[in-house]
Amino acid sequence: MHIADGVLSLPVIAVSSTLAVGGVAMGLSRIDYENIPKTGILSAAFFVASLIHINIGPSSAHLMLTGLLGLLLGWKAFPALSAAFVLQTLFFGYGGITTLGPNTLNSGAAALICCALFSPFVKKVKGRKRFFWVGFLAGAAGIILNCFFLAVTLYASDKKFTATIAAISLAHVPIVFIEGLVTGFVVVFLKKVKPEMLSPQ
Amino acid sequence: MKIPDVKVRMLLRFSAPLFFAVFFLTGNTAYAHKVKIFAAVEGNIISGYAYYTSSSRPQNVPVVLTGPGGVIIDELQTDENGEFQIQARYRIDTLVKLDSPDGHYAEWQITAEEFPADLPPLTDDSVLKKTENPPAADFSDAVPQTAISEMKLPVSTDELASIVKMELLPLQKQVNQIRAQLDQQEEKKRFQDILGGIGYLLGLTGIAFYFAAKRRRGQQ
Repeated sequence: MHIADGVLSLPVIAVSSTLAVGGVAMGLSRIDYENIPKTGILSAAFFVASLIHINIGPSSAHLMLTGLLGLLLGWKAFPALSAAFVLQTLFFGYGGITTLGPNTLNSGAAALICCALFSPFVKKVKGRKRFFWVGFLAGAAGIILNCFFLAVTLYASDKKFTATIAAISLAHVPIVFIEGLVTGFVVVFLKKVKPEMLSPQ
Repeated sequence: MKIPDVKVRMLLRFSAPLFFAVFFLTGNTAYAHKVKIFAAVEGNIISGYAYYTSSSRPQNVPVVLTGPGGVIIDELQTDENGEFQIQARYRIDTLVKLDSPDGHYAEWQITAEEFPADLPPLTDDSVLKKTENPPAADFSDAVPQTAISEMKLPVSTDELASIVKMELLPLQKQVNQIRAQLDQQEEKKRFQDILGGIGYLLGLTGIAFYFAAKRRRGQQ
């Protein structure tokens, strides 16, 4: 779900890059001694997860872990995502230099909304099954929101991208469920062994 | 300054299942996204294929052949196997471009020297008319006429040229295969790159620790 170079219009790149820089700055200001490892490791997890593509019919899609990053990191998802995006762009030509801002903003905003929506439930919900569903919904919402922001970015750049948007959205329907499952299992596991990690603080 | 060793170790331990979950769930996966194109000239045919940085290949994607200055020479599409083939018509530097509607782009340069010598160079008015039959062979470029006529060979110049051409064809094929393999090898470095990327991120984490520790010491 990365936008390549030369796809977006200049105003879209400018606006979203500015917002992304703001997000990264907000995230960095919230990183303290205790949550450095969490941020670094989740950045690495995102880096690896979003490089591995799953073939779905004629297309392929990949995990994003946006919901998980949101739940665990909150604002700190922005620096974590941007570091991983920079490396993916430099190593694999995945995404693009000019689209680092838009890509970071799309995923970061999705993570942040997931954090706002589901973190209160993480604190309140009791019982393993219910907790799994909170994680599942956070993971699924992460992909849906990310797709939505991607669609908005593409559409704002050029209205001709409607067909591309439809194709991308369709390809991500299975990923919504897979990401939900992964996030669900991970949060249940974390709740059991390391519950304090589930706070975005 | 006290580094929370236990905490770091525990976090690393807990993140391991996350990595495993990702790898396990994506067992039957393919690396994709970056698209590449390969093309080579064999005889009078330009053939090649487009591929994602994996075994998968994009199907029915437009491929455009352009000459110097971006003049479009030919337009075609990849087939079900991601391959394409077209008759070479000019002996010019040709850029084979793949430009799929979803924003993927790749290109491959074929230099004029790779084309057979009997093909005409591109002139301004020759772009638009498609030659159904390639022009008759003219090996004047490939075989120096004077040198051969002086030697009084038992075969004619044309015969000799076609013999040389036939002998060279398998060699050209092999070279093309090696070039394709080399190009793919570049992409096979991905696993090392992934590990390198993780290393970079952990390094960044270390740098963050350094600054956080400095800040903490300043506060104390």
